[in-house]
Amino acid sequence: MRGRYIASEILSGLWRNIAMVISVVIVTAVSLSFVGAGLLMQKQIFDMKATLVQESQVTIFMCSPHSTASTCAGGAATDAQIQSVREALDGDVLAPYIDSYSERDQDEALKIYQEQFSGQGFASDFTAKDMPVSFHITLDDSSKSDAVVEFFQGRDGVDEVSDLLSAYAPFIDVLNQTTVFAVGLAVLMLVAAVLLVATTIRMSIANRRREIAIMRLVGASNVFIRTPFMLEGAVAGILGALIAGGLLWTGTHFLVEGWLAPTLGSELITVGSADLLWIAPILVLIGAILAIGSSIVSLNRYLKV
Amino acid sequence: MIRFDDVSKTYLRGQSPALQDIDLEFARGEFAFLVGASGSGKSSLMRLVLKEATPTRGSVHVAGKDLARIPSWRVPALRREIGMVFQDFRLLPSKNAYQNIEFALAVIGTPRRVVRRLVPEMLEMVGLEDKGRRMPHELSGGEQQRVAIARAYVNRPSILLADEPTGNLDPATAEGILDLLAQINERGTTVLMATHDRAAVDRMRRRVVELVDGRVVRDEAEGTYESPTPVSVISGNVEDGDDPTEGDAGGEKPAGVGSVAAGSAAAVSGAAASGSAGSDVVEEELVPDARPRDLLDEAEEAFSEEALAEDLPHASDREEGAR
Repeated sequence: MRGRYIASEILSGLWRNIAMVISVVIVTAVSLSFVGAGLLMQKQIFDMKATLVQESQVTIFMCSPHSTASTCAGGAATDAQIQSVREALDGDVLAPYIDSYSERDQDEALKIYQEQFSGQGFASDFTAKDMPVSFHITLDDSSKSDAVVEFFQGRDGVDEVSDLLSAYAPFIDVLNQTTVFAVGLAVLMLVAAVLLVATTIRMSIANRRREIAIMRLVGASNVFIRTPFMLEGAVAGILGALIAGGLLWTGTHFLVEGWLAPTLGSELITVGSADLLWIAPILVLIGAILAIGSSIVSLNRYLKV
Repeated sequence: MIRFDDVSKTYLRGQSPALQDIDLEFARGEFAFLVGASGSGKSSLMRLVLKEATPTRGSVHVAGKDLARIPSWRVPALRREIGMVFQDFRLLPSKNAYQNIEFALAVIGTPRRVVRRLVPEMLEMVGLEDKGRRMPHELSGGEQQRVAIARAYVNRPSILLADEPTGNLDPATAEGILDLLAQINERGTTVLMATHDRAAVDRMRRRVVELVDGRVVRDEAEGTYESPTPVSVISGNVEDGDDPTEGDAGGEKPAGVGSVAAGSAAAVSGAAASGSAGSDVVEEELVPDARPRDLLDEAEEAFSEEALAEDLPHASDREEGAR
């Protein structure tokens, strides 16, 4: 009896306030979409950093005959210059930073180069002499790459020192800024959602004043009177969260998996619609908690014992 | 069953009390009339029994329990022991007679099979066994009040409070309602009925308690509506608004408060004849004090609001039914 009664009360309450309920659902859906997008972006940043730390590579390219940097004025790096880099990498000064390193000689470089540009005519024109010698360094701590980079930058015979982390820094920066923006918007919208739920519940109470008065008169318990209202808010909130999940799925499936990942490479873009398996429950939980919370506040204000 | 010990109730500090020094006891199974002009404190008394209001001073005991000691979460349990009937019926217009009675059981969690047994029983008791499917607006005023009584009694409360239950009904219909209340009383329920119905009181010859400005001025075992009591307002022995307690020890009270209800008994019975919609307005004029918004007021408000908003045809139907 109770379950059926409560269910029918929720449905009729939602139906009577259908316009308000729709606005609650939409606002909740949009705000939780922003929350979800923020979560996705943070996950992307987290994954990317993890990958970079794992690789944590700094690469030193020695001068090749074609280098244009000022440190390469003397043409290709000499054996002595290469040897001094090798010694520096083995030396005590850099020891705390470096985990390990490998040296790639000109023959290897040519092989990789020709693999990369296989099928294109100009690739076969190059010989090993055209290729730079390079050192691939794995760091202990990728955040301390600056020291290594500065150590080698500007040395005679060193063409370029590249740091993967700094290469990705702008991208991570953009993602972080966007997250702040998305979360800011989400908070704003969630405030609107909470106020809307409160207003909806208030209207619902006003609509059912007569029923409530009779219920109290015949001794219906407080919980019994309040539960339908609370669940009414919760249903609207959860519905909004589910729609947010749908929106995010559309976004990740078509935008991220359909365009971003193929364009930027799937090693870089690690998020996808599979992540919604853990994000959607979080959104539903947030939606339910906010809706029930604001329902309780509203009930305490407008419905007394 | 109900005991008032030296109870006073003041709604707003500085205003004259709605009830003063009430010492009353109603025994189990008693049938008592509460009479007195509008604003004399009858409704306040009932409100105290329901614990919708708490006394400013003194204590109220219902069914052996001191209401001041009942925590708020136990109040619903108290109210299940008490049935309440109103002048304006207060049926839910969207539910039929059967559903209105069922509602009172459903919301306190009564199992469905018990509901299926009790509701038809109640409909039969009030003589509406063939009208369970009628909507309130399809019932006459008397029939609506019977449904309301069935709703109040279906949970077999030990106390039934009736606030002017015959106020909107013609004399013949009122008599039927009164018989119903007497029948409920015979089954052992204590019935407390506030009324302006002279014929009802005179016919029943039960205990009569008269209130004037919140004080008990008469408590007769087999009383009539009017009495030779010198301070009785409803008997016309004293003009309402004149302080009947003047000269008493504790009789001083702020001036100009009692006067609002001048001629109120006549006003209310006039309004009652013209249907329920008007009576709310009259009540408001008569009781201008800032009573705290409570359950009864809210119900009243909802009633008039919703009557305007969606039940306009119903309201006029009801008026016709009452005539």
